[in-house]
Amino acid sequence: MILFSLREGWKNFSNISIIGLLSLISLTITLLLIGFAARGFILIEDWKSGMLGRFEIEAFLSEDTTKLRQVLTPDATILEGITLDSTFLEGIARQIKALTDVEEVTYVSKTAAARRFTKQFGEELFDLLEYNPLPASYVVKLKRDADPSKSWERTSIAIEEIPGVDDVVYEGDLLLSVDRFYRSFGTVVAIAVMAALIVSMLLTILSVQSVIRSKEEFIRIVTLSGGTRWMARGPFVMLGAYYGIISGLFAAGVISLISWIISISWELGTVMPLWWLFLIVAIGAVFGMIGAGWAAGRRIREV
Amino acid sequence: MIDLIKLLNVNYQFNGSSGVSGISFEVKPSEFVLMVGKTGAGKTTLLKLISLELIPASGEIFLEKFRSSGIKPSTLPFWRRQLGIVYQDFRLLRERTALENVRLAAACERNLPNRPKNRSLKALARVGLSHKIHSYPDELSTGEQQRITIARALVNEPFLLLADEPVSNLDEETSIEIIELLQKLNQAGTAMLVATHQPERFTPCQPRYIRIKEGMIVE
Repeated sequence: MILFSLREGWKNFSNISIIGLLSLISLTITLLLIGFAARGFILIEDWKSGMLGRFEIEAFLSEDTTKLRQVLTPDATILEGITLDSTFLEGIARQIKALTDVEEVTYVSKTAAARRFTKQFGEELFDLLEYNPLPASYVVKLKRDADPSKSWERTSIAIEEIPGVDDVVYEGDLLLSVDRFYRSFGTVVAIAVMAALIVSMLLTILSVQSVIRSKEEFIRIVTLSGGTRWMARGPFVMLGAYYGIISGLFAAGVISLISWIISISWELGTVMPLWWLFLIVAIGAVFGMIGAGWAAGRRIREV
Repeated sequence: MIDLIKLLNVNYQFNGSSGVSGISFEVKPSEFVLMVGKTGAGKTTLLKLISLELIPASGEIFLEKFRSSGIKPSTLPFWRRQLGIVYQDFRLLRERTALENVRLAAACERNLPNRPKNRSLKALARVGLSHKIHSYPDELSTGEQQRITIARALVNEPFLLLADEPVSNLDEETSIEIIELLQKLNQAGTAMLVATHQPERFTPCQPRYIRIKEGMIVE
């Protein structure tokens, strides 16, 4: 039965009409859009992930010994007014780590902060000011999947409320810009893909309907010879599958060629893996079959 | 003898024009029944009702173990596989060869022992067209085209062959050939229900006559 549908579907495909050709072209464009969008999403996701990986929250410890005494254990030693014991430091780190979106917490002592300053600006702070004004801090990294629009603000507020923490900073505006760009890209691409999909589905439906109209005698003979519902509809569903497969092959060819050129010329991304190309062909076949199945179901009601 | 097909008080009305009413008759195995009536008498409607192309408004048609009332779409193919249909206008697919035309119908019945292609070749041989299997309908005479239609109707080994004006488009000589062929097939065991407005041509078949006038059986 499937062989029958495949064979008869191919006969219909080989007599492709203008509208069938349009359907083929629009399906190819849709699949190209889907392929490039998916590829673009992966590149942008990598970029976003890399960008977010660079963002961190800095939680500065209080320099006020009076404030610190309120949160320290009675036997804790405070040297030079700001040297803190490990129990206290670990306690704060544990509280930060316990927050939902926190991935990693690193303590940066006053000395380490001064070293970092020297490394960045080439000046010894102590030589300039004769004391170290930099506070000890925690560098907090959030999980990669943390929502930039909510998690960062929520986490920084929670850290700020921990006793002993004086100030919390992070590059909120830049973070939101990255997130906004990612979302805008996603919305534009989704709308474009949806629009292309609707157009190509409509063209597939119209094309299959016009083929069905020209094959009414075939349908009549099949049904009156005792053919089943599937035997009457199958060839047209397969016609849609052929549209999808051929479009998918075109699209996969173009995508792999362009991705190869990009990877060779700009060393950006990698060549498309083979399973991606199969997936594009499979998506094409499914789209084609859905459109054609709908058209056949509506036109060939009585069997 | 058990009836092959039986119609009991079958009615069907078209919108605004007459159909058939109160039709009751039966066809027994290997019988040759001639349905006679003028054009528009309701013969084609009756054949369409038997093949369930049209569903009776009331009444009942029995075909083997099936009955027409409440028949499910999934059962319809099994009903139609008991029948072979020969059309007045042949209804051949022009872009397919004689073999492909017959094979299309053969592919619809998968429960027979021989493969569709073999059955198609055999059916074409039965109608004397073994030498024209790769010819397209337009390359064949009207008589040969009608033979393909008969081969297509026979390919699934039906119990009953329905023929709608099978010789009305043919000349005298070709008509005789086709009628002889139908007679031969009937003698081999296939029951025939033939609709015609030229009953005299079928006299050699010694048929049983059913006369239809204005959608009703009159004799």
